Amino acid sequence: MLSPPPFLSGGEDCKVRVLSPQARREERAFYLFLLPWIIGLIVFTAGPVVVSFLLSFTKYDMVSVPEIRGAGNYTELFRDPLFWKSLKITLYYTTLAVPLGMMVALLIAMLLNQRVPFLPFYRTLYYVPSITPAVAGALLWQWLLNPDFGIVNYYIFKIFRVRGPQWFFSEQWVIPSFAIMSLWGVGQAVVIFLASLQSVPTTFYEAATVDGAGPLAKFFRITIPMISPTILFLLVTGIIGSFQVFTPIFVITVGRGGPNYASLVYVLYLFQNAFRNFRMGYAAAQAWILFLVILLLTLLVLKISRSWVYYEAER
Amino acid sequence: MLKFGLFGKLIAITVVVVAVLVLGVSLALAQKVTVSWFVRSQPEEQPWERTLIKEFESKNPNIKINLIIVKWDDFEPKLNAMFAAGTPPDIWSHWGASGFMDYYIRGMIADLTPFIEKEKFDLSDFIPEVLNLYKVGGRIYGLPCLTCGGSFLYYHKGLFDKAGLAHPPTDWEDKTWTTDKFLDYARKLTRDYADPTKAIYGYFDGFWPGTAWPLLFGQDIFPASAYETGFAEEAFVTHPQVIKAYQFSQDLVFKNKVSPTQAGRVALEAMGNPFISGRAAMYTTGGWGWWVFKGLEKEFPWGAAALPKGHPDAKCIIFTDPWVLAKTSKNPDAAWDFLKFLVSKEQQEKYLKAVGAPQGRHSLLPVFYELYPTMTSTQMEEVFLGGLRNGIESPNHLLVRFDQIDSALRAFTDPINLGQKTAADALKDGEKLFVETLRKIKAEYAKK
Amino acid sequence: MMEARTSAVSGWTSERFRQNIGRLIVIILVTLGALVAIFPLWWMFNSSLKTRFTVIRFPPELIPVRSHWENYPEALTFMPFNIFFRNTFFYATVAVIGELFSSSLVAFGFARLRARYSNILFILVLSTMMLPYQVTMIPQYIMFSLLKWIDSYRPLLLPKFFGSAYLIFLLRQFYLGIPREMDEAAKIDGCSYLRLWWYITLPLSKSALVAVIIFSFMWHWNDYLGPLIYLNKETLLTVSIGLSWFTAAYGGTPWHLLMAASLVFTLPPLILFFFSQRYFIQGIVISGVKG
Repeated sequence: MLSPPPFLSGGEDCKVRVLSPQARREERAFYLFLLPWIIGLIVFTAGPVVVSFLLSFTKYDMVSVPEIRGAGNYTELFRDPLFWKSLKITLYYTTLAVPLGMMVALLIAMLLNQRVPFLPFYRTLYYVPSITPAVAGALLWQWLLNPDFGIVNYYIFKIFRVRGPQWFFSEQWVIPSFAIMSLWGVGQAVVIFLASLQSVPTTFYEAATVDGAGPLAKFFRITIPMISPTILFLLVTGIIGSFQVFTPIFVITVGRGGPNYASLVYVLYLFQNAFRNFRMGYAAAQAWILFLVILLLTLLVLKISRSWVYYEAER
Repeated sequence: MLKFGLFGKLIAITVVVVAVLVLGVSLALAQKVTVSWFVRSQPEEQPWERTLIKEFESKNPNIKINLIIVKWDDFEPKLNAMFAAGTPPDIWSHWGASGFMDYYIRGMIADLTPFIEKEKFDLSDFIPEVLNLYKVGGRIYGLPCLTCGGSFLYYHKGLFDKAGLAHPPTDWEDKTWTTDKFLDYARKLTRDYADPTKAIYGYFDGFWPGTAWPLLFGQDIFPASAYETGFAEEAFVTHPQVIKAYQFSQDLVFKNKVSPTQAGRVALEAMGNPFISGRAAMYTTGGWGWWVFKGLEKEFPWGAAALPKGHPDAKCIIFTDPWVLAKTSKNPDAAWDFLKFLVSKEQQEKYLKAVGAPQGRHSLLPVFYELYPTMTSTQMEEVFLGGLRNGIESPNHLLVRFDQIDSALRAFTDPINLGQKTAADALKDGEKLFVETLRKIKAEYAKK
Repeated sequence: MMEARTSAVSGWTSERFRQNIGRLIVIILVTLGALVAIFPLWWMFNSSLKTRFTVIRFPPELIPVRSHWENYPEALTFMPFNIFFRNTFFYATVAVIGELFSSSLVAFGFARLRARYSNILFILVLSTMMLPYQVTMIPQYIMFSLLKWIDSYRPLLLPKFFGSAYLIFLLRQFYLGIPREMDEAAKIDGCSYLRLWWYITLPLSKSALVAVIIFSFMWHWNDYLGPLIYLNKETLLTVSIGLSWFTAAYGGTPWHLLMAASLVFTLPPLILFFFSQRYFIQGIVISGVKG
């Protein structure tokens, strides 16, 4: 994906980036197709983004005029134990939620890709959790995972004869609880995987069967490579999304990130600083640090992806 | 080489749609002045709000009221966004995570004294203790929207009668109604504690904030000066009465087993108050019980009583909400007219009757006392005034950044509520960080 | 598990048998999962038929003893939901159209056209997703306020016509999975890039486009924050805002009404999803370079 443009004219050793007329035409078309996004970026996004960056160097409570603070917000952040804690917690959450979510989504998508009766109904049912209002979902999970009254612990006790964990009330289990809860939104990834699985030409599988390949071989040599662009997509967007997880934590811990700040994910702490403590400048600094972290991580993932992602179009 | 046919069609459609959106249809209400009224989402209040607006607009045809209803969680983001853009709502109350003092410190609210003095607005009907709460430096910054009175013990008459117990007293001065007697009652009222599907709890804790417990045992965590200045620089976290108070609340769950665990409470409260469904015999909370339980007497007969006392100096927490006017309001005079209308006796009476929230006016108290079929008006008067006279206003209204203070408080009181540490240990461990938080808040927010 | 030894002609009955067992296992697993998935919807339906008192009961009744169907009209008339529904439908539909066309155009550019700064621009697209909205929210609000666009749909809808980073990324990945043979053939025939996009790439990525429509519709149908911040006038508000008004500050939320109203408004995205199923079924069989 990050490959140099292969259309230099004047031979491969020519260092001058001179384009052939055909390549120039292609490049012009490229910018024309991108025009909507470029205009949108300049008009709607650039201003607020630049302002938020500038605000990160100020003290701003949203009511009075911002006061310049220089790099004070950043130095304070690096000395703030909650900043580090929230970063660690968010990292932990991401490493749990993203792989788990993707594996479960792929599993479900593959199951739904079989010849199962009433398939349209099943697919719709699996998509339901994504559409269920967040309030209902949060309530449900609070009940399921209630340490004293919930059915999960009830069955754990019945089957394994041990007391289940305290889930959302325990400092150790609260993040794993949220990671499990994130499976709720897996429907969207399932839809994407399904669309992707569907676009794998069946001729490939047929040819493989003729060659005597078993199901595992088919999975790893055909399916995975053919859906690898989708896997990359879900991985990158999953990381970007998980690092910014907010709403479920906000709803269940009533905005506190408890118990004892054990579920204080990064954006929750940001929100608290912005809208509870009225320290918008400080929050802006937090946001930009997060941006950098996510950006670096994404670039890393993209770089590594060159070795395992297969684009049919680049054959 | 772009063929006009296809490309042109696409461009044309897009341009038309975008143009329609950009130019739009602007409803020019140039003659009218708009006053925006920013309120919380509370289903019972909505019909009252709409009727009130209709009445006001018919009496003031050149003013239009823009009602903006926002859920608690989103109150602060939207309020601050509007302020940041220079288009604040004109009238609101402290129904988000902030309190009155937060708004005052940030210079968001207008001094109402000039308005009041200019037209000699009559303040005599307002209860002085309530009116004085929102004065800073002798100047009035808010007019009472409602006052809960204090905090009270709501109890289920049916469960009491079944257990053969006398109803708790409405007289705050009744010295026999101690926390020990309360515990005794709670024990007698609790049934099937071990079975969450059937249990009836003698007591369900609805206190908020957690500082209510120390107050009940005669010692506030915050010094009295904090309520004047808005900042606390010290805290009595490890005072013996405070330790005793928190230990008592922990024992209710783990030692005496009359109250459910934290997890149990979350499960029971998820879809409503368990007191309403008859699963708790006694429930202590701030006076918003007056309107949460209003009209439910048919389904369960409830009564209100004074809080049990852990100490002769016991106090309860009062919750009063003021209407405030934005300092940078675009139409302060129209907003003031609306504010006057809101606090007028007629409108407050309507609010009282519709919702059940007591008002800060002397003349409306007798009306309030008549609202509850299961309590006589003498009983109501006794219990309400007892709470009001022996209470202090909630720190979340008068201390700056109480939201942050509350989080810090919970950080070390959570282990008590979860039964992980004794009160003495937890409070000792948490004291230093808590006082540091208080000092940091003062350093950050106090006006230089 | 199943072994597809095509040379095992003998014993085909046992192979068929094992295939059927495999299918049965799949069906059981899928059904169990579906039951879990549908449980909250069932829960909402269940609660919506109770009264204010029975809905609080713990443990909750899994099947209501008495069904109060009157909760539905009561919930839906408690607030002007007919106006909210109309607004939400308008908002979601226009947003979908905007996002679909703009995102697929931009994605095509990234996937099919080569340019010198393509990679950097792509990273830029991705990076717009990396800054938490909580900090850009206020400056953005101020910007729209200066344009006097607050309390209208303009700040909500106009940006949709300029591409959504997530959807651009999604579609780009799909387009990259479509072989170039068709493109080459078309270009030889003298086809412009735009026609290539419209007549060849779009039809070949139907399942992805359907996914885009479903997602975009659902997000905007449920969008709460946008309408919350930018809309004030009651006649403009959406269903998601209306539902939030059921929440009481002091625990008097009428859950039975909230559930009834929420359930009704969960239906349109579900119906859309259900009827779009057949677009997922069509696989793409690339047999040749026939243009």
